[in-house]
Amino acid sequence: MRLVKLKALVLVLLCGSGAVSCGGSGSGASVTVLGPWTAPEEAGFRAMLAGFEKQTGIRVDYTGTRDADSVLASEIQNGKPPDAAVLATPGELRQYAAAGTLRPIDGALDQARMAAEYGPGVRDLMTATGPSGTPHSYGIIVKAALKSVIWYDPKRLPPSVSAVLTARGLTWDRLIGAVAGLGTRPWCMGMADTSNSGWPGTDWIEDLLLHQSGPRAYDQWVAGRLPWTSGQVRQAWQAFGAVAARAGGGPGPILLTNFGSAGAPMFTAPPGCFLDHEGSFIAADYANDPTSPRPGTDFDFVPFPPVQAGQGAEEIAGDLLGMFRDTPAARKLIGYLTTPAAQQAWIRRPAGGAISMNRAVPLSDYPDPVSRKIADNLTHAGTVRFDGSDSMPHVMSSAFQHAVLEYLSDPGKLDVVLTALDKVRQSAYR
Amino acid sequence: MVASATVVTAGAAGRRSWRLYPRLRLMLGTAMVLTALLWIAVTVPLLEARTTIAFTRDRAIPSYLGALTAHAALSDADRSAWLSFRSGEAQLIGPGQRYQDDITTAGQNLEHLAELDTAGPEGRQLLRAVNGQLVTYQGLVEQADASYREGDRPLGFAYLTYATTSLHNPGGLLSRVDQIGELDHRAVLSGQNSVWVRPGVLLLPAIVAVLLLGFLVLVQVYVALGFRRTINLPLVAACVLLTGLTAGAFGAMIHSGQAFQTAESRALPALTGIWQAQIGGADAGTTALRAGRTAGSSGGLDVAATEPAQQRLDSGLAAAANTGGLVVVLPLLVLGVAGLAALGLQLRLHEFRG
Repeated sequence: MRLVKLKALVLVLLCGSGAVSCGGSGSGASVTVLGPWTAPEEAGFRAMLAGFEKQTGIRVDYTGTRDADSVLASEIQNGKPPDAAVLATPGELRQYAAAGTLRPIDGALDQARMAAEYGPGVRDLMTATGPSGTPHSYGIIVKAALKSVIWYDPKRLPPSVSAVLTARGLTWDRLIGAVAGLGTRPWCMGMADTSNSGWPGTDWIEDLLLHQSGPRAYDQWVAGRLPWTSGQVRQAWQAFGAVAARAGGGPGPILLTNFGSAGAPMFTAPPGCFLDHEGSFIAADYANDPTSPRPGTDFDFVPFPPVQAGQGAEEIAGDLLGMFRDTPAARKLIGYLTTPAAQQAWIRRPAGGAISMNRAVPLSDYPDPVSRKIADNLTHAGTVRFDGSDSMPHVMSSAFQHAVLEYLSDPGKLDVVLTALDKVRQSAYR
Repeated sequence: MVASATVVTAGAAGRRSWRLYPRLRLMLGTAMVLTALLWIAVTVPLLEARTTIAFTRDRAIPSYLGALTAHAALSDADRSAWLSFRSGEAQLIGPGQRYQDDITTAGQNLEHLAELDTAGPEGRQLLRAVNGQLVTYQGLVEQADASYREGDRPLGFAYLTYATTSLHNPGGLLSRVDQIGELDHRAVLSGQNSVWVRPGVLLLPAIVAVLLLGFLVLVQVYVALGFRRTINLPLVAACVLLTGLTAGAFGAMIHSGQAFQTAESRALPALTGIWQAQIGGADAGTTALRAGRTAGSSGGLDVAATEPAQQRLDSGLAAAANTGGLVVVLPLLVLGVAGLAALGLQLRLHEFRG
C-alpha cells in the first residue's frame, strides 16, 4: 500500500514538473493542436473536434495560423511542440519522423479498420521511416484535396467555350484554343499566401508536367532524378508562363493577389477572368465571395485536361496530422479523426471544401453536386499522383515556390531560375 | 480564591460581587475575541488588496503594456521597412536601422511577456505562435531585401507585401499579439474589479470595529457602575486607540483603493491611448506607402512620448501599493487595544483578589 502511495506521489511530482507527459485520456484531459486552417477551414476542423470533445470529454486547444509550419519549427526548436500538428506535406512528415521528433501512431490506429477504409496508396502516405530505420505510421490524412481542377462560372462563361469545356475528350490544346477567344485575361491567377506564396504556381507546373510528360517523368522529377533544366520540365514552365501571360495585368497583380481571392473576378459582371486553376478546397473561399456563389450553379469544374484524350491523371494533396507528444489523449484524437463520423463532420458542411480519403464515407454525405463530383473523381481516379512540391524535400519545395515568383516577376530569367533549382536539387536530396 | 471567598461572606453586596467576577472574566474573554476578530477582519482584506495591487502592478499591467509595445514596435518596423524600400534606401541599407531597432524592441517585449507569464497556458501557446510568426515575418523582409538588391524590384515589393500581410491579416502576427494583450487586459480588469480593492470590503471590519468599540464602552459603563469608578483609564485608552486604529487603517485602505482605481481607470487608458495612436500612425504610414503614396518618417513608435504617462501610472500604482506599513503596525496596534482592554479589566479583577 505504501509502495502504491509512493508511486502515486512520484507520478504527481513528475507530472507537475513536466518531466513526463501526463495528458490524460478522459474528462479533464486536453490536447494541443497546431494547424494551418483559419476562417472557414478552421470552422470545418473545429466541427470534427467538437464530436471528439463530446464523445471523450477531452478538450482540444487548436491554434490555426497560415504560418503553421514555421511556428511548428520554432516550437520544436524550443523543445515545446504541440501534442499534434497538421503538416502540409508528406516531405515534412518524413523529415520529422526521421529526426525522431514525430511519434509513431501505430498504436493509436485500428489497423483492421484502416485497411478496410483507406486504400493502400493513402496508407503509404501516412507511413514514414523512423530514426531506427523501421517504417511506422506517423500521420493521418485529415482531409484531402483534388489539385487538378479548373474552375469556371457556368453562367458567365460564353456558351461556345462552355461547350468545349464540358465536351467529352477535352484536351489541353482544345482548352487553350477555346480560351483564345476570351479576351486578354481568360485566366484568374494569384500567388500570394504569406510565407508560402508561390505554391499556386507550383501546382500549375506539376499539373502541366504530369499531363504533358506523364507520370513516369513526374515521379523522376519529384524524386530528384529528372533535372529542372530537362526538356520536359522546361516545357511545363514555358506552358505555365504562357498561361500567366494571359492572366492579366503583368507580374505585379499575380504576385500580389491572394490565391483565395484570385477567382473572385469570375463572379463579377462582366467577369474579370473566366478560369481558375485551384485545388478543390477553393470552394470554401468561393462561398465567402460577396456574391454568394452556389456550387453547381455559379461555379463548377473540369478536371485538368490531358494532352491526349483518355490519358488523364489526377494530382491530389492532403493535410497530415502527426503526433509530437505521445499522450493517451493525443492518441485518442488521432484514432478518432480517421473514423467516418469525424470525416463526415467536415465534409458535410456546405462549401466546406474538404474531401475524405475514407472509403466508408458515402458520396451522398457531400453537401452539393460539386463536392460529390470531386469526391467521385478522387476515389475513381486511374492515375493519381501526390502534390509534387509537397513530396519534395522541404528545401527543394521552398526553392520551387520562390522560383515560381522569380519567374513570374521576370519570365526572361527562366534559364537562371532552372539552373539555380538544379543546384538546390543536388544538395536537397542527399 | 481568597478574594472571592471574602466577597461571598459579605452579604448582599457580596452576592453581587460574586456575580461580577465571572462576568468580568467573560468580558475580558469577549474583548480578546473581538479584538482578534478585528485583526483578522482588517488584515485579510488588507493583504488581499496588497496582493491584487501587487499582481496588477508587477505583472498584469506590464504584460498588457508589453503586448501593446510589441504591437507598436512591429507596426513601426513594418512602416520603416516600407519607407526604406519606397525611398530607395533599401538598395544600400536594406530595411534600415529603425526597422532593426523596432524588431529588437518587439523581441525584448515578447521576452518580457514570457518571463511575466501572466496569461497562463493560453498565453504561452499564443506566445510560441508569435515567436514562430516573427521569424517568418523577418524571413520575408530579408527575402524582400535580397530580391530588391538583386534588382528585382517587383519581387522585392511582393515579398514585402507578403511580410506585411503576415503581420496584419486575421490570424497573423499582430492579431496573436493582440490576443495575448487581451488576456493580459482581462487580468488587469480582474484586478480593477476585485472586491478586495472596493470600499465595500471594509463593511465587515467596520462592523467588527463598531462592535468592539460598543462593547468596550459598555464594559466601561458596567465597570463604572459596579466599582463606583467614573473612569477606567486603560479602557478609555483602548477605545481611543481602537478609534484611531480603525480610522487610520480604513483611511489607508480607502486611499489605496482610490489610488488604484484612479491609476487603472485614468492613468492606464491615457498611456494605452498614446500607444494606440502610435500604432494607428504607423499603420496609416504603411497603408500609404503600400499604395505608393508618400509618408514621412515622423510619428510611429516613440517610447519617449509615453514616458510622462508611464510615470503618472507608476506613481499612481506606487501610491496604491503604499499603505504606510499598515501590515506591520496593525498587529501591534491591535495588540495595544487588547492589552489596554485586558489591563482595564484585570485591574478590577485584582480588586476581587486583593
